[in-house]
Amino acid sequence: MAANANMSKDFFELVKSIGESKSKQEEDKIIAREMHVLKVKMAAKVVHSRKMKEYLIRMIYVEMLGHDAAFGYIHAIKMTHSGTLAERRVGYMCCGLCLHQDHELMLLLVGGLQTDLQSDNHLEAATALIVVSKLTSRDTIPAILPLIIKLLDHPQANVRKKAVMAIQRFYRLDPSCVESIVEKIKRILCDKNPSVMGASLYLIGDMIGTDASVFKDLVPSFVSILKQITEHRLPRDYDYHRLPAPWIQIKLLQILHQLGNADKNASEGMYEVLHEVMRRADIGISIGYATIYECVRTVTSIYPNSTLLEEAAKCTSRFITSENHNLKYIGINALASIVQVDPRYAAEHQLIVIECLEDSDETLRRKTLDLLFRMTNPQNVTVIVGKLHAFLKSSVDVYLRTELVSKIIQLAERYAPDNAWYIQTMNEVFEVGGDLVRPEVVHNVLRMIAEGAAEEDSDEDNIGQYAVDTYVELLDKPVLPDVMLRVISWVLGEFGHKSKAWTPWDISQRLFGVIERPHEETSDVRSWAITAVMKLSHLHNHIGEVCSVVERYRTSVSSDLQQRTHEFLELVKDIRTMKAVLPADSFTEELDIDSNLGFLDEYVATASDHGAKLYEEQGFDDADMLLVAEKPIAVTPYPKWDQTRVAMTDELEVPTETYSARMHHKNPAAASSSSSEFSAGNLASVDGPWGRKQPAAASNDFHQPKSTSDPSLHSQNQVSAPYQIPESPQPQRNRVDSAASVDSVDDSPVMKKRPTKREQMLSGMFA
Amino acid sequence: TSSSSSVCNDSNEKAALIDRLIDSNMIRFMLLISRQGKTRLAKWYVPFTQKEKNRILREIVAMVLARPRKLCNFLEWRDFKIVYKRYASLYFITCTDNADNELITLEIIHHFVEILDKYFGNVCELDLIFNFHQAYYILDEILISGELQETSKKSVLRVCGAQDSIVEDEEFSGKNKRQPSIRDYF
Repeated sequence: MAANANMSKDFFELVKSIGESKSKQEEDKIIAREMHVLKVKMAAKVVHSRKMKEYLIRMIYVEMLGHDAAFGYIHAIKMTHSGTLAERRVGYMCCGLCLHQDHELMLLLVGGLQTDLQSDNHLEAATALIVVSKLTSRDTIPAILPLIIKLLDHPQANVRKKAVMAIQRFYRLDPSCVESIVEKIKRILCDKNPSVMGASLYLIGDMIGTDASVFKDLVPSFVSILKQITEHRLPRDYDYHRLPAPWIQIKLLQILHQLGNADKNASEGMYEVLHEVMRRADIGISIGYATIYECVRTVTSIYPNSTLLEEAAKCTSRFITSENHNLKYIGINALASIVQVDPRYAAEHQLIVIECLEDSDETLRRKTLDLLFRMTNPQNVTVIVGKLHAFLKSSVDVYLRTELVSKIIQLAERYAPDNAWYIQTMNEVFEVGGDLVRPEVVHNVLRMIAEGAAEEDSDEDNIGQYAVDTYVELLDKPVLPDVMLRVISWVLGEFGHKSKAWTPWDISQRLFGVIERPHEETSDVRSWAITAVMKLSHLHNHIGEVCSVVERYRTSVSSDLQQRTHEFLELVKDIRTMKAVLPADSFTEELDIDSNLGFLDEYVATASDHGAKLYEEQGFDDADMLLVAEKPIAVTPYPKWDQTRVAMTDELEVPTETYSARMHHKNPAAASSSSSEFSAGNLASVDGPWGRKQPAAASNDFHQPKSTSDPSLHSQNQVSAPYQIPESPQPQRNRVDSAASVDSVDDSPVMKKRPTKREQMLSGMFA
Repeated sequence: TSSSSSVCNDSNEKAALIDRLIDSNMIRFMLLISRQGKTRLAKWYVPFTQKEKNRILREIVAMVLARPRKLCNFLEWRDFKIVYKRYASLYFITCTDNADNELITLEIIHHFVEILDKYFGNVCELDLIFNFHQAYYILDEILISGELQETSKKSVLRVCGAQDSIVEDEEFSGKNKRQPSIRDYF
């Protein structure tokens, strides 16, 4: 291509060497060298714009290969203000590739974009529009939107088309931006240039997605456009492999899909044209199939029409039975949509579907699983869940497994044939995919078990009993996921008494096993298990042993566990209370909670009679509010500490010696006394962790720091710490308050407290 | 994926819808990879950092290159779908939404290839290696914000031709001044 002749030899060398490099390291080396060269050359004072163009292209190349060339961005932006269109085009392309909408340099482009958008040259406007679509952020929309709206009337179709696409992008960022131009958008639909009309469909599609009512009246227009397209009324340019404007057709189908959804009137207007589209698209090529597939999707989502559904089903059959894997895939997808509307169609193709499930193509297998999921009904749920489960066991991809877990759980909850099966399935899911199960699911499971248990009056087929029996056996396994352990603990606690095969004491012992398993500190499994044990504790005679087990966790790190153990140990003292608090088999009973704690009223009355003070609400009282109003947050900085402040408290003296001088205690006594007075005045009232020590023999004590962990300090620390405890701290106390300002801490060089190790080290350094 | 904070005046429902809209139904990125896994073109319609881009590239390229020939051209990756097609020694890889019509995306790729073919005249990988910037220009005329903007091959080629003519003119005559009016190349 002619344009290529402008690239220098360096560029060709670069590309060639990358192409010939044998290893990643070699490639990286070449790129590093190139980046260095580019950096130097771009930063040169005078760079001819033609050269800069090439540097920018090389920079994109480097970025494309995965390296960061941020040094060049600013040059790309400068390029967009350059003289010639070609150069600006390069600049814009680089910006489009390297920047993103929230990039800080993005704002520099806005001015240039605004100019170019108003340019007389349509090519300039078009180039600017491309960048606008990529790089506008919510904040910059207001600056650009008005210009774009004007461009919607530009004489050049290319510009109008790009302007519409830009608005679509804006709409996604900020839907309010189209409020003023809805009518205009509707008219673009009638633009004489099919490209522009086609582009507007994207924006309209989005707008319908948020609010279909605005465009409901346009259904006849869409239908008519679709009709015209299928009748080959568009210019031949738009034909693609003999099919007229397939993408526009498909976009229209998607729009009809949304408009006809659950709307009988709108749907009725579409049936005929859908029929036509499906018929005419059937020409045996890929794009035709794509169109038919889209038709099927539309047909299955609008108000149902049996003829159309029949046709759709027929096409789907052809897809599924085809040899082409892509078509098979599409077929499975289509079938999934159809069975939502009418489950009968699934039966015909059962065999093929089963085949697909075992196909070598993983994508196909996964899609078939999806289909099965939609095809589930109470008759085939066991089989289907079994299949899903098999997949779950054999797959490693996290996304797939999460999906499968959630699907299995949904199916189990919706279609479980009987309780036993439900519990079995949930157990299996928890075991295999326990870490992927959402916490809410656990509660659902527990609720279902409890409700099931509450409903039954006969002892046969008792879900509670069954659950308990199964779970006790499961506890034999050495490793179970946390999710399972929680469920097991809860069920055993609530329903342990129902089991015929195990006594409560047996169960409790098993639960001890759970408690004693190694758990993470943050895991709450132990709490669940202990609560379960508590619930069972009044059903057997071994309360003492229970207490001893629970005792061990009285001082646990987990405050939740602590609380439970304490509560239990209190309750144990009165069996009656415990039975009332932890009654058996009453999970589904309503708890009456008196939030006013009315039952304590008598207690309060008695206490206040004996002179106890009544509780006062600690809210914001008026005094506090006044304080806040008077002294709002200070926005002026505090004045710096200076001599004048000394006037507040005359006893304070501002130290004039420097830090090092102080450290070089030539005259320890004098220095310390002056310092002591000062420091005492400051901090005597502070009763810090280092406390108020006896002043006697203070200086001697402080010569040797108490902590001996760092022997090197001793040798260096010949000089004592300056802080001396004053003889009589009391009288000076009052003066401290006003003087103890924040400033003194950072400005004065005095050591004010017993030296920390760090300070000792520092003092050692200055010695 | 790009996430914009919800529009302040909207209710929560609309905000959720908007979040869904932002990246809905569009091509997230388009990659051209050689058989050895070298990048020939990478256009991202959703902002990622360079690190993320590299990671995504590695993951996807590994998946696609490992796939045997006869299987279908669609792959599931994270929450999205990868639609790819191999032309001679180049893999064209796109990433779309799960709900999209996959066959259509395949056709978009083909559309792009046909246009490249017309432009370069029997395009081969070498053309794209040395003229990647041209390929970017062409792609910008076909896809905007990840959506197909132009379905007519002729229009695309016309616009690209016009741009190229201007570039040639400016190179040839060495003009450096801003042209207030330009000859219409159409």
